[in-house]
Amino acid sequence: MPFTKEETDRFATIDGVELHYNDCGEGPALLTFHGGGPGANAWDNTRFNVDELGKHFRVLMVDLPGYGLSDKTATLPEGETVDGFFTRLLAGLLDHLGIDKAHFYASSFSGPFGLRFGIDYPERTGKIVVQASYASTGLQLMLSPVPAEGIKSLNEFREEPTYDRMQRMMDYFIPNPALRSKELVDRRYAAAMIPGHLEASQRFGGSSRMSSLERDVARLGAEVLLVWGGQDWMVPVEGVLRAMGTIPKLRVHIWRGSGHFVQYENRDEFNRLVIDFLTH
Amino acid sequence: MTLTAQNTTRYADANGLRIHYHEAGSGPALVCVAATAFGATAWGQNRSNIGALSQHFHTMLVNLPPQGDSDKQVKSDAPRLDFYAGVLRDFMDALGIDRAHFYGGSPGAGPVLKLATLHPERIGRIVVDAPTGVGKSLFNPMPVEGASYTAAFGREPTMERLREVMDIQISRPELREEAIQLRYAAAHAPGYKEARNNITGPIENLLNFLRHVQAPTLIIWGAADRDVPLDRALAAMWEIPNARLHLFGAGCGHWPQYERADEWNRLVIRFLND
Repeated sequence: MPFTKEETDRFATIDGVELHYNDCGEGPALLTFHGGGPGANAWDNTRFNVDELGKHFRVLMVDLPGYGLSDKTATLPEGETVDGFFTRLLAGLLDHLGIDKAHFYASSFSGPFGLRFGIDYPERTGKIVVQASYASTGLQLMLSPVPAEGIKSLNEFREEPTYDRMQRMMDYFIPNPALRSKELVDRRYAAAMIPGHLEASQRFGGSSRMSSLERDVARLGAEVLLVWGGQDWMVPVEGVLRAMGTIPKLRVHIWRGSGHFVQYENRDEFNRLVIDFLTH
Repeated sequence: MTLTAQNTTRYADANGLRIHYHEAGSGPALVCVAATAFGATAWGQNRSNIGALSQHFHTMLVNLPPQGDSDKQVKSDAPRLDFYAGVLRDFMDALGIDRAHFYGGSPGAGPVLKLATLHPERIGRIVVDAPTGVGKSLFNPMPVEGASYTAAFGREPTMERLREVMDIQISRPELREEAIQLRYAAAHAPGYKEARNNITGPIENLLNFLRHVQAPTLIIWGAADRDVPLDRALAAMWEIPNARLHLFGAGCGHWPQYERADEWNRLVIRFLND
């Protein structure tokens, strides 16, 4: 039986912030997140993979504050960084669930949070899968224009959130037309229009209060798998070269023809690669 | 039974050339082509892989002449990759194999990728480790360190020169010694050095033809590769339409199949079975 969102929806209030997550499967805990663009949320990010991943892991698909069905009113506490705030909530969620240690799958915007958790809570971290994300808190590119082509479409949607603009944004996310669908656009648009989401996500995503990952990631003890699409117009794949120089225990897998959603665009190969990595 | 160089050794007659290869396992055919670098051998290259691969595939580790104990009476002035691709086709014909998966490491990759453009019907899937010959690096001076040391070893095959090569190629020191011993012996096989001088054809730049490789291809690379710079991994990936690129991070040099053998074996077996 495939997992459904409704049957696996759960909520927990951690340090006064209500977090939504989906709880699927049994086994070692695997926390999954989502990107930072409008309409991103944990269920839609990983719903194409959860049936396979759920055979091996207790998959906990967590909406970060501002996203999906999690708290839209939370603000960044005085004196705390975004990554410090989020990882504190995640540690609190693990406590709430009675889980000592977890694997992480963190894509795009959430990549730095997965790595930051591994740095700050080494004894609670198994392995980390990062998707299309620099081991960096700043977007510093050498070979690609800034902002990247896809990011422009994302900013245009934020300025005027119409369905047409969402569709254009999704065209950048998924370069292969055969893999695009109206359902994907509809769902993403609906998630983007959840009241409070655009403002709240901008509050965290647009904040410059991030700690320096470049410096600290050298201390990361966890094994890391970085996956990326060769035709990612959101976060250009040249970032692998940057990550290669900073993340200590790293392997990288790139699908030449994929865009930003490698977990969807190459789901079978992605699932086998990730399961093999996390179970060995 | 433990697989050894001796108990897996076979010989084939590929259209008049003696081919020395190692064979184990059953299943779909998998031909692993050894690098043609000075003293490189099929056993030296893939001895950490044949055990795992042969659980799933009819695995053959092939020495192109005059590598290993393959023919020393070889002579060719044809473009080198065409010549080697022809030898691989003749080898398949000699064994009655219509179609096989292929692996090639370093300069062993070029012949495989060339074969894929000349005879695509003979090829299933392709795995390559750090192919040489994919153009000049954008970021490293050429020739890179490894190629210079390998050339020096070819001119003067002393143990000292070989250690310089292996220090460059294999990132972790504790893995070097066994590779050095195997390579030193092969470099001093009777007639070997002279035979290499009889293969004189030009080596084609792989960038001329990689866009015609249609087979699903997995490119593997080590971040600490001092022989073929990492930016060439991206260049190779862009050229091959159906490519994936797998990079091993710090601590993996030019020999991922050996330096990361367990993870490499699982990755390759899964890819070939997809």
